[in-house]
Amino acid sequence: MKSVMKSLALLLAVSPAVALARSQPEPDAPAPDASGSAATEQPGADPVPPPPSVTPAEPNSSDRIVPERQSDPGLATAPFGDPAHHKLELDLEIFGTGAYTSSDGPAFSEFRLDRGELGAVIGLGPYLGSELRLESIRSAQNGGELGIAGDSIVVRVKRAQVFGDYDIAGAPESLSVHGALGITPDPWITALETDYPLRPLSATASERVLGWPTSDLAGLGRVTYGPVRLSVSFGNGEGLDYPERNNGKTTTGVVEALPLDTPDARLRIAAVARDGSVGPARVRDRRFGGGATLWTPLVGAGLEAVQAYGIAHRGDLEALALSGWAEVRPAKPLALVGRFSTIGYANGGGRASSFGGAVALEPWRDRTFDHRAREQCRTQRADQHRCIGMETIGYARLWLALDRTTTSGAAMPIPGADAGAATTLLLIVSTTAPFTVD
Amino acid sequence: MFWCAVRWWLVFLLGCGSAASAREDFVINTLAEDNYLWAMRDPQLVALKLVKMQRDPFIWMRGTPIVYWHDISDAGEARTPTRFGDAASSRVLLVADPHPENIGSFRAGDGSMLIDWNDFDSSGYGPFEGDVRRLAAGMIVASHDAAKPETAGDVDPAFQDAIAHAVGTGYAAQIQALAAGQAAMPVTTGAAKYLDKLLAKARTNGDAGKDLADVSEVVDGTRVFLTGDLDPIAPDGVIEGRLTSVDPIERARIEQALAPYLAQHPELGTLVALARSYGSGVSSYPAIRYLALVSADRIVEIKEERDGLILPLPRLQAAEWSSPAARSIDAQHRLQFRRDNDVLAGVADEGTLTFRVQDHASYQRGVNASDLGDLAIDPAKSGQVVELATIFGGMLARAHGNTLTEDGVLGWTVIAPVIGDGSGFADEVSTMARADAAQVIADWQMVRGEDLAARVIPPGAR
Repeated sequence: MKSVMKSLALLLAVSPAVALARSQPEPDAPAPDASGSAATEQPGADPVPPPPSVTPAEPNSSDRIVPERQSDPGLATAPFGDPAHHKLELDLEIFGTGAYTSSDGPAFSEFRLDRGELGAVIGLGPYLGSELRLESIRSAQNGGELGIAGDSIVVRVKRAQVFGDYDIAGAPESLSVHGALGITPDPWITALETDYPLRPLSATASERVLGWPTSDLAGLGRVTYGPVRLSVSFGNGEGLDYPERNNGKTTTGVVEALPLDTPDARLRIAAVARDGSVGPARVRDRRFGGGATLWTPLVGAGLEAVQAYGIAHRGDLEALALSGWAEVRPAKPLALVGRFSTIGYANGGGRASSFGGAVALEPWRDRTFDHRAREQCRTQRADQHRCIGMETIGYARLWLALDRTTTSGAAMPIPGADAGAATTLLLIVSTTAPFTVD
Repeated sequence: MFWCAVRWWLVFLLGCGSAASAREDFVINTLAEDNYLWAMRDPQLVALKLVKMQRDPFIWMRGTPIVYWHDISDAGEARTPTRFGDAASSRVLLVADPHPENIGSFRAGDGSMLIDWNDFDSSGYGPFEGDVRRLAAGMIVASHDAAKPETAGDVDPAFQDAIAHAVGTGYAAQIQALAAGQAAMPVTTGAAKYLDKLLAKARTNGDAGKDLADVSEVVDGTRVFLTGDLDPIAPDGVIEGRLTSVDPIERARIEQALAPYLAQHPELGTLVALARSYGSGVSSYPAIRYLALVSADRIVEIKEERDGLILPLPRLQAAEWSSPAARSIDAQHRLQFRRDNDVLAGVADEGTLTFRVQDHASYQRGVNASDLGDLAIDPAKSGQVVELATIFGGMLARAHGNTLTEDGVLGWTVIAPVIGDGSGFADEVSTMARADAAQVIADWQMVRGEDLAARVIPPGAR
């Protein structure tokens, strides 16, 4: 408890510094885009980098490359986080973290690299592209001793996919199809992380408490019709940790829609159904859920709910995972965020929750995307500009965050003895650094 | 089933896992994960391990500590909360698999013989009661006629309760003694009839150099390893005791790995011969093992180690130890009564492999679960099992209590306050251990006779 109070005291002590920083001129203040949207946008999340580009688009009709990517809320030029249109795109995404944790046991502090990713996308003619994305991980399990050269940080493949896109002409609304094969992004995690700016603080509830893999050896197909997109992934279901270990495949279907999409507000809703199995025993891996994300220049918020049948190696476990987050951007370059996630196990299995908040400063952001370019892209013809994708933008953020985890009942690691509760004070630097060649 | 069939029609090869076989699926997946790297490297050894595990519930228990710890700590599984624990006492250094066959004899540096824990492969920090339950459950599961494994579930509930109570009572009494400032005493000759015999036989065999005679011979004035099946292959096809020669490249690698160890033990001299050993252990059956003959005419055993117990509690990313072997040896030194129980215990690393090195002398002789079973089924001798349970409970308490926890304090200082006067502790241990034992036997019955290799070993490795 004393440690928790210390953490709170430190947070309060740092607050004036945050306020002071607010009063300083921005190093490279982004200009509002043509539609008047605020320029202090959030980093995208996981899968692939966030948004906007240094080169506002004039997409080249002969270069249509469409990898999965995250949007930069508010800067998105199109409904869904799909493609960018470059001959070559590289990007780095780094989350460096200093953490002080106060738990029921000992307090400890450490510096971590929570994310180190390098991605490359190369266009292969007008309709095809390939993507390779690498991520850093510790070679030993957390707390384990068996690693490479001690417990070195090593690199593994997070995505390796060949993809293709095609716009179908003649439809009453814009209609396009997307297909990919290889280590492809999970469509549900991609949907959740689109417009989700808090990834440096926490993974989505699906990933954090249900262990939902962010990518998988799979085939991925998408159909986008106006403001609606259907995605179906058919793969191993083992994520990145193992090759296929059974003959059953895992199917994930996601429907996304943008019922509201204006320069001043965007509402994104999504629903998921997943059925499959993991491991040689084919433990069930069944999920149903939904989510919604609202973005406005001042506020962003999201909700997520997933009912799980079977968790990890336990096919009999059933649980409901819920999460929510909000971000308020009162003034450039400041953002205030809060989040929670909780999982309640059925049949008296207890509950595990985490919640927290942060203040974030964005000392640098690259130029924002020009929405006017979007109009040039609207087309239903494959041989013309097809801007269904997002442009990435470079940014850096500094976060001061507090995260609290609690458990109860049978969700405790050791029921009756140790709830594994912990309060963590985090100082995070997150950057996304894209580089494109057209 | 209907929906599964529908899905097969709708989408070919869709997953059809269900809750109905959830326990079996969990056990299979957990074993698959536990053995994954070994299965990719030596699928035949993993297959033999799985066959061996199916012989008897006690052997099954020896092969499944990972299942036990998942059952203890997996979120969402309905588990009875302990009334005797807190955060501080959940960071005690544990043997982590303290079943009775992980107890054996040692000859300390001064030549005295004693009984102590002898396997630290799974060691790590965790709740002390997890170890106490495991020991009590192991004593219960061992208490049947080894020739009739199917009778393991027939052990009289009152006898089960007596055994588990004895473990809990012995444990609590020793913790209270430590808290009262009384020094722990070694378990040695005079502690129990069964242990007296064990110690006597170990000393006799050790003095006679049985370890050398069993695995080597002198040819033209030079000692060399015997090779081949020194123990006959079991009817179920499991290799029980085999030595094979190693090629020059393998020998060079191990010799290089052993060099720092031998430098620390000049009394051993130099490496004379090396043989790959098969057939020992259950959980670690597929681990790489060697016997090394050194010029001092002694044999040391070299055994591959891997990660031990890691519970999902808040902690640093980094482990306290540099390698699994370093953890195993450190845990041995800290948990055993004397640091010189095995003066040859050490570490040898080779690339990404890490080995513990230990004395192979016959002074080290393990408790045999089938012996306990023989005692248990004999009404005239069953009291000895209860007596042993009390002694082993005390031995475990001494190990926990005199060892620094993850927080750097002596174990008894955090265990004694939660146990209090011990009332109720033995009751809880008994309730939980009997449930644990029943689960072990049920799991064994569930997979008995199955071709586990076909389900556990990845298709690509088979």
